[in-house]
Amino acid sequence: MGEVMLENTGAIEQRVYRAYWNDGLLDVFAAAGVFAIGLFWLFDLPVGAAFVPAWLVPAWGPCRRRLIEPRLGMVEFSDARQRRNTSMLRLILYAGIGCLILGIEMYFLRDRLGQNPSMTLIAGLPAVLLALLAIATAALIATPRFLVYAAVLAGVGTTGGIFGLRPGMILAIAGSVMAVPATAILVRFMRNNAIVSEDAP
Amino acid sequence: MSSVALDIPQIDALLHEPARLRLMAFLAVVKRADFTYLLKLSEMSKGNLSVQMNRLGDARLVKIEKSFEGNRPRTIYQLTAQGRNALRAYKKNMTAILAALPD
Repeated sequence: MGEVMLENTGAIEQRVYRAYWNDGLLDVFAAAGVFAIGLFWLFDLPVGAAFVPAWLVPAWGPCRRRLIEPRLGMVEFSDARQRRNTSMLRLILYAGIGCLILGIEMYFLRDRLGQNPSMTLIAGLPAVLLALLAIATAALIATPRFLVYAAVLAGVGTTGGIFGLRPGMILAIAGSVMAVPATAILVRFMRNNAIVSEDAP
Repeated sequence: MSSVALDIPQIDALLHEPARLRLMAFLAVVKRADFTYLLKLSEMSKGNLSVQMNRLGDARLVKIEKSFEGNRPRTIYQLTAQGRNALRAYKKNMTAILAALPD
């Protein structure tokens, strides 16, 4: 079937698309991802952080179907929107892998750079790089809320770097801070939206 | 005396009803959506939504797929090509009528 969009429907589509992300599930996933990467790093397993996206991405669909769709329903966006999302998500994923490689490089170089004063500030760099990804996500899903998460990541990254915290600790703290509003949004959504049955009224 | 009414484009009464027009507008911007999603988005009652969607389905403007997920019924709606054309014609005709109105 031809999927020709009607003219001037962009505003409606944009509103519907933005509403799609307002349940807080993505927020919780983002916070959990940042926290888990930090935790792996904290226990000297930075390579394990690479498995975090591999664990979160497949969990997204089942979580959404179990928690959100019985309350909000199911919607599939246009092919054009899905294509745009895929290319942006790919970009974000590559950028994330870049951050991770940079972080792992730092991890292996930390002994050599340990005496260098700039090393303490570099510890906050992964969080600051993840802040850039949060900004990209905010643009992708048209949700300014992710700019707040970007500010949290950048703020905790910079402050943690100044105070000499390790990258893992910085990310774990940032993830924990992000988890508070993220969980609150998800809980509020679930409380305000009972499971809907299609059964006859 | 010739009637000026002849110059006014015909408006599709099925689409002109506000609830159905809203539902068609929602479906025009997505690929497909289920009953629960339309219920939340439109803030209509289950009964009203069901009736309106069935009318659109009967007119072949919307494709209706019924299935079960576990033991829960699930109905998915998708605008047909005929539905898109009808909506496009409605928009064109309404625009023409409104443009002809005096300020």
